[in-house]
Amino acid sequence: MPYRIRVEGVVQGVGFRPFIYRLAKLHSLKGYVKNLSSSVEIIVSGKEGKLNAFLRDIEEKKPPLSRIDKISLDTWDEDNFKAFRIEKSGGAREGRLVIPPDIALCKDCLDELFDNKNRRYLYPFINCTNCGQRFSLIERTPYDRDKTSMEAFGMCSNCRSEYKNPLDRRYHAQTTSCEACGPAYFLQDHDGMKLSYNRDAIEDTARLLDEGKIIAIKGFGGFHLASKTEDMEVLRLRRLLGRKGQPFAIIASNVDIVRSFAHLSDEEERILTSFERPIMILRKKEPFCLSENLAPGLHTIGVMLPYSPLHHILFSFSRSQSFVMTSANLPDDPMVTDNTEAVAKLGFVDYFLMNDLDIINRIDDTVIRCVAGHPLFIRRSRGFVPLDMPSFDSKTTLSLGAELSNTFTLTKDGRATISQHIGNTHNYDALLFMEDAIERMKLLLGVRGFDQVFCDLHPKYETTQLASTFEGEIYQVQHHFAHALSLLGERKEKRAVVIACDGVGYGADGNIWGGEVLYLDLEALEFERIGHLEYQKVLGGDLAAYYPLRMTFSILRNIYDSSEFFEGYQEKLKYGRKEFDVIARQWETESLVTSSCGRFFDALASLLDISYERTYEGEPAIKLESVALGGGDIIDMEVEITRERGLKKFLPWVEYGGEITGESSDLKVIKTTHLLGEAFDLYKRRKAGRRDVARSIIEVITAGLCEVAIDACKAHGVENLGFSGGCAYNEIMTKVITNRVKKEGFDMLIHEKIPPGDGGISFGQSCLSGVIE
Amino acid sequence: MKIKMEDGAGGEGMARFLETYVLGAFSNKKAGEIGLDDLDDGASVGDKIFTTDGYTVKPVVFPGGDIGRLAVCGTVNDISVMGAKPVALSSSMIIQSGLDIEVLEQVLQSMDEASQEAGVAIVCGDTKVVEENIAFFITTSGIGEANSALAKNIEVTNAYRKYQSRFIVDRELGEGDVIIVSGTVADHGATIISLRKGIEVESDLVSDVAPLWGMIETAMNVGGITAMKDPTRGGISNVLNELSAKSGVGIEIDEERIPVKREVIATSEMLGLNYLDIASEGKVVMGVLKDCADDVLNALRSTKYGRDAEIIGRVVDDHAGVVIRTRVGGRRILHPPLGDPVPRVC
Repeated sequence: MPYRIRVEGVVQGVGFRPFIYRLAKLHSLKGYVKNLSSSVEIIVSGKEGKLNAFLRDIEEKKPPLSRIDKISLDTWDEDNFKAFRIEKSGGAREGRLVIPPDIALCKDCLDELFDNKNRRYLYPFINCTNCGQRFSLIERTPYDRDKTSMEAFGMCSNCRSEYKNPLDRRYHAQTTSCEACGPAYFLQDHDGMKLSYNRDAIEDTARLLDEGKIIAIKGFGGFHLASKTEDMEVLRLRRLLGRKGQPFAIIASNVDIVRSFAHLSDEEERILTSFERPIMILRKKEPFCLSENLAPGLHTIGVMLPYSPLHHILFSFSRSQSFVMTSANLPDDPMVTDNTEAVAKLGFVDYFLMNDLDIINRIDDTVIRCVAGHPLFIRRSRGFVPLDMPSFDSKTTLSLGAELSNTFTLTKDGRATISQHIGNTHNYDALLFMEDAIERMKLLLGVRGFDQVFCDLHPKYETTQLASTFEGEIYQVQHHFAHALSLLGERKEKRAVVIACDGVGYGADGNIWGGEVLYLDLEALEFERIGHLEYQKVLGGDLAAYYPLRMTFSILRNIYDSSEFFEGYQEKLKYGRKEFDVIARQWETESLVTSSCGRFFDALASLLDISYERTYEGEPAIKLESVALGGGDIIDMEVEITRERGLKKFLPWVEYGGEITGESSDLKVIKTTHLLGEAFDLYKRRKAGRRDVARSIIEVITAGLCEVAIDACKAHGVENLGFSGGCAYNEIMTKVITNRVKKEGFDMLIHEKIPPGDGGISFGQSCLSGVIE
Repeated sequence: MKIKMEDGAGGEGMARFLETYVLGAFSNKKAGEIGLDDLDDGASVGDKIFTTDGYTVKPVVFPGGDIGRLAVCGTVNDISVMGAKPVALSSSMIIQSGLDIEVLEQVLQSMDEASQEAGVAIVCGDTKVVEENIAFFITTSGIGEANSALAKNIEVTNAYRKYQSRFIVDRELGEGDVIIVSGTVADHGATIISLRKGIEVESDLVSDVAPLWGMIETAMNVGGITAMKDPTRGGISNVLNELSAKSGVGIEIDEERIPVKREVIATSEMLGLNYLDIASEGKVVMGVLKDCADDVLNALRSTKYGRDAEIIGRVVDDHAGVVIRTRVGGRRILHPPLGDPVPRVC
C-alpha cells in the first residue's frame, strides 16, 4: 500500500531529497519526493518490509546537516508509479520548515578546492548540499535558487548537469556555481578600480596582508576587517576603528597553530572544528606569541578556524598562519554587508576584497566560551541561527529582548526561533537592522501577526518603545526574571531558584537590579525576589558604568565619614579632583541605587587599579576576572546577610505601560560595603596581592548569593538551582556555585543552547507565552 | 496621584501631563489663528501675539544674569520666535518676606535693562509678599505684533512653498529645510546646575540669557525661516522633537556641528547629564529653506547673540522623529528628556 510521509525540520537545502532518492532506490521503492513550502513530502509504494526499513533509514542515516523534528505517515491512494523521482517543489504551506544555517566547507569540497584537476580548483564559492551559505542568502521559502541571492547567477551547463543528477553531491544544491557562471571575488582599491578577480584577487590579498595592509573582506554574513596579528597592524586597526581595548577575534590556519598560542581542551577543540566553526574564547599561552594588543589585559583570545573557501585559499597563499578577522563596523554599528556601504563606511582600510553575491541576512560570527569546562554562548549567530527549539506554547509571539547584545525571538506552533545577533539597539542603525530582520524572519516563518509581544520593563530601551508599534497584547517583562525564564525554558523546568547576576536591569521596584536571587514556579504562578546584593548609590547614571571609580567611591563612602580616604584615586577620573568634588556631593543627594553584581565587580576592578574606564561591554569586570584567575590564596572573609523590607512577591510582567505591584516582605540582602572596605584595606596596606584580593572577593560574594539561594531551595522544597545573566560567563562564580550546589545535593541548571547574557533575554521573555493565557 | 517634579520639567513627561490634565480642563481656548491647544510659544489674537511665562530659579542671581533678566528675556523670546515684535510686558512678582532689598533692586534694574535692550515696555504689574520659602517668583506676560520683517520672511518663504500661517509656527517645518542653531547650547542650564551641584564654576561658564528680538528681526529680513523655537527646558532634544512631531517630518542632526562650550561639555560629563537636554535662554533653533540657509546663517552671525550660529542638521524623509549622528560616528534616536536619567548600560 502506498504511503505519504511528511518530514518536518531542517530538511531543505541539506541534500535531503537526493538522500531519499538514493534510499528509495536501495529499498526498491517507487513514488516521488518533493519539497513543500515548509516540509518534505515523500510518496512511496513497495513491499511493507522495505517500507519499514526505508522509514528506519530516514531517521538513522539522514544527511549530516539535516534535523528531523517530526515525521507523519498516512495512506495514499495513487499507485501507478513506474520509478522513484524527485519532483519540482510546490504545494501548499503546511507544517513547519526550518531554514538551515550557514556552515563550514565540507571535507569533499575542501578536497576539490585544492585539486588542480577539479573544475572548481581555488574557486571561492565552492559548496554542495552538505555545506556553505544558507540563511545569509535566503530571502523566501521554499528554499529554491530563485528565492535566494544566487538568483542573479544562471547555471552553466556543467553546473546544471550536476544539479540535475540525483547521484551527484550537488543534486539540487541551490547554491551550486563555478567560475564560469557564479559570483566572483574582486580586489578593489580606493578609486573603485578592480585590480584582480577570484583566485588572483585572493592571492593579491594574501600578499597585501603579509605586507601589513588592512583589508575589508566580504564573507558569508557580512564584512570582516583583516590584518596581520602583529603589534603594528593591530595598533593601526585600533586607531582606525577607535577601538581602544575591545578584543579582536583572529582566524588561524589550523588547530596546531591555535595550540601554539592558546590552550585547547578536547571539548574546545571539538567545538572549534565543528561545522558551525564559532569563535572560541581560549586561554592564552604565556608567553603569548601574537600581539598583546589583540586582547589587552585579558587572559583569553577569540579564535576561529577557516570556514569559507575564501579563508582556506587565503591561507594557502599567505606566509601568515593567523589573521585578525573582526567584524567590519564602527563601534556599535551593525556589521557592514553591502559593497557600496563598505566603500562609504570603511574608507579607512587599504583595500576591499568584495564579491557580487548579495547578503540577504546579516549574520555575525558566533562566540562561545567554555566556562568551568562547560560551553556557553556569548553570541549565538552564524552556524546556529535560524535553527529553532521547542517553546512552551503554541501561540505566535514576538519578544524584543533588552538593549545590549540584543536578539529577538519569534514563536509559532510550539517552536521558538531566536534571531541572529542584532547588537546594541541604542544605536539607530542596529535598531533599523532589528526591524528589518523581524520582517524577514516573519516572511521566512510565514508569520503575519502576533498574539503576544514581549519587551523589557526598562521604559527607555528602544526595544521597549518599538514594542508599541506591533499589534497584539504587549507585555513588559522584568529583566532578571527573563534571564531566569530563559534557563527554565531551555531546560524545560517549571520550578527553580535562580541566581541572576549582570550589569543592569530595570527592577520591579524602579531600582536598578543586577545581583538577584529569584524563585520561579511556572505552574503555581509564584514568583519571588528572594534576595539581592546590597543597594549602592549610582553616581551620575550611566557615567557610573563608564567610569567605575564612581562606584568604588560610592560604596566606600558608606564606611568613611569624609571623602579623604579616596586620596590617590581622584586623579584617575577624567576631570580629576574637580570631578571628584562633584561625585562627593552627588553621593549626599543621590537616590538612584543598584544591586548590580557587575557594578560591584567594576568597583573592585577600579579599586585594584585594574580598570578605570569601560571602553567595551563588561570591560572592567572581565579584566578583573583575568586578574582574579591568577589568584589562589583565598583570604578568609565573612559575608554578612541582613533582612530588609522590599517588594517580594509579584508577577514579573505587566501590561505595556503599567507598573508592577505585589507584596512587600523581608528580602535577604548580601552586604557588599564591608567586602569592598576589606578589599580596600588589604590592598592599600599591602596585606595581600591584588590577584588574591580579587579572587577572594569574587568567591565570598558568590558564596553569599549561594547561601541565600540554597536557603530558598530548602524553604520552597525545590531541587533546581540555576545561574544566569552576564556574570555566568565568570569562571570563578560559576565554579563556586556549581561546587556548592553539588555539595548540597541540588541540581545545577546552567545554560546550554541559550546565551546567559542579554542575547538570551528575548527567548526568556517568549517563555511567558506559556504562562500568560 | 500626586504632582511630580517631572510633570513640570519640560520633555515628554510634561507633555503627557498637559495633555491629561490641563488642555481638557478649559473649553474656550482660542482667540485667533493660534490657540492653547497648539502648544506653541505664544497664541495669536488678530495680528498680535500673546504669551505668558512664570520664572523660578535658584539662585536668584547667577553668572550672566538674574531672575529679572530671565523673566524679561524669556517672554520677549517666546514672542520673537513667533516672528512678532515684542511691544509690551506685564510683570507679576511674588517675593518671600525677608528677601534683601538689594536683591530686589538688582532684579528690577536687570528687568529695566533687558526691556530697554529688547525695545519693549513694561506696562503693568502686580506685587505680592508671602511667607513661604520661595525666594522670588516672577511671571511676565507679553504682547507682540506683526511687523515688516515677519512680512518679508513670509514673502520669501511663499516664493518656495505656501506658508500656512501669518506668524512663524512650529508645525511648518518642511522637507529639505535646514536646521540652524543660533549659538552655543546649554550655557544657561549648565551654569545653574553647576551652581546648584556646587561645582567650582569655570570663569567662562555663564548663562546666555539674552533678548533675541534684534537677532531674529535681522534673520527674518533675509527670509526663508519656516519654524522657530527657543530651546529652554528640555534643551534642543525637546525642541527638535517638538518641531519634528508637530510638523510631521524627520530630522537628522550632526552632533559634531552643534556649537557647545568646552565647559558645558565638562559640566555635563561630570554630572552624567546630556547637554542636549539642558536649557539655553538666549538661543533659537530654526528651520530655514535650503536655498536661504547660508544667507540666514550669515545674517545671524552678524548679530551680537548669533555670532556662533551653525547649521546642525536637516529635515529628511527616510524616518520620522529625530536621529543624531554622534561624535563617535554611530547614529541614535534623540528622544526628548523624560525626567531623571535611568542607567541603561550593562
